[in-house]
Amino acid sequence: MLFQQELNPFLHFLTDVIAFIIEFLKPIIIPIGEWMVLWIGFLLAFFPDNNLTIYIIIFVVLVVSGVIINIKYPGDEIL
Amino acid sequence: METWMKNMLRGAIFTAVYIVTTIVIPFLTFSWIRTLTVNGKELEIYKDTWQQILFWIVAFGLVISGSAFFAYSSPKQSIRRGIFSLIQIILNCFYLWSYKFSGALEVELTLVDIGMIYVNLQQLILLYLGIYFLTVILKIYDLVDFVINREKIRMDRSLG
Repeated sequence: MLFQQELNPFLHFLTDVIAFIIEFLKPIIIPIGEWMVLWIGFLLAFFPDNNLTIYIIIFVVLVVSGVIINIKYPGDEIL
Repeated sequence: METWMKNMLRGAIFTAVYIVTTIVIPFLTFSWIRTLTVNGKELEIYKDTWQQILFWIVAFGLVISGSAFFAYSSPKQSIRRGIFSLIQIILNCFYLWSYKFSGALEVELTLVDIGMIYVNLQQLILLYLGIYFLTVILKIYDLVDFVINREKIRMDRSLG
């Protein structure tokens, strides 16, 4: 059987505590999660799913602009 | 060491950390799961969705790592750091939910000569996203704090 072995009593207690907290928060957390999923799912439809090039370009732009802006304005003097 | 050098070094370190945690580790984990055998029998998980999973891991991993570089190379408590940290948290939400699109949340275990098991992990991610919402609220609070106390932060930074 896969992973069927006696758990450490402390780990067992820890998992019980975490499960209790999650069960308690579930009525609040799940609706928030469903709302998050709604707008994330809507926006994800606009992301291209067949071309990695655009994501590589975004990465390069972020790094290059980070280098330029944060060297020019390192934040060690009052402007 | 000059301030800008420290900022660049911090940015580079955190970019490397995020590349490892968002691209390398998931890639290795999914590669291992895909070829998992139990008692000599192949589980054949993610056989059909492997390419899609890999695409979304790399795509969002790159964007998250890029925004991490910008955020962590910015001065501490600066507005641009607050903005990019918030963007990064939101991108993490997209990254998590993109696992759904790639099919990684629908686990189909084909036990050769035995049968098939289907496990849907969407509820687990939904729960996690609900908790993650609290992190978004915290980052918004940080950003508002940086904007309101901008002059004081600059004064403290130049004196410190």
